[in-house]
Amino acid sequence: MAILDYGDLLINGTVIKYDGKVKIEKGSITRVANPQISGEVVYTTDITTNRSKITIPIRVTPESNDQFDDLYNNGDNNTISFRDANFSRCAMEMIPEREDQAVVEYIFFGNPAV
Amino acid sequence: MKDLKEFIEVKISNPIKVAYNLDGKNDFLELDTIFLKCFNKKDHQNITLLMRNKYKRMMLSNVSLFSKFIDGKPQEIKVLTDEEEIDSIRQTLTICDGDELISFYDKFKEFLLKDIAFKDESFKQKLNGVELNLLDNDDLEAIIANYISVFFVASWMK
Repeated sequence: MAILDYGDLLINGTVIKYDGKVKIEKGSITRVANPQISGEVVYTTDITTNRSKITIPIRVTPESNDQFDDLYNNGDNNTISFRDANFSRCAMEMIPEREDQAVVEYIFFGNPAV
Repeated sequence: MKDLKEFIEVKISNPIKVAYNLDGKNDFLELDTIFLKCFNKKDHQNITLLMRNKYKRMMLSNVSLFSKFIDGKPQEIKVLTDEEEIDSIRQTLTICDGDELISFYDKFKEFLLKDIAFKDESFKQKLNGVELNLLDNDDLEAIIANYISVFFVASWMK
């Protein structure tokens, strides 16, 4: 798949060219059903899923390595916009193994979409 | 003669959500003001020439509107205030031929992305193409009319 530059992916206001499909999990609180013996189901909430996950496929080049190294070093001081969804406080999970010209996935976790 | 300004600010009526860096912190901001720098000949000569040509062609196609004579009687040429001039430019743009107008707007947007339009008054955070496309038509028209009025109209209408 060709490197795409529709301008629909921005990180910290900079357009990012990606190679493949950007995967977005917008994040939300999970409703947990807890059955009871001789009682109604009790619903509680699990907030650990209340975060976004953005997976970005990038073709490895020295330029993209430098760019994403900087984003990793920013910690959670990254904003990501993809089409109509905006995510703040995004931190890269880890720097993946990178082989020149291969496509790797950079995974960010951040606040839920706004 | 107007003093040559270095920049202008244009307030937009429909704020746009943009990525913004405030004191080193990256976040989103509802931007309600666009900061526009004056062009320079070195970087913008070709594109300003193209825009001038497009603008003049658009104006010529509306030449009847600029006629000094109505019913054979000469009309007094009124000196417009800045606000009246901007309004006049906006009104003129709205009645230009559709294809010509779109072509002019596209060229102007290309120009705005060449270190002209910024999100902050210190001119460090450029507006990018994605964010520019978030502006609604009225706000874009206001930005273009303001810019033409302040920086271009004196030289373009010679």
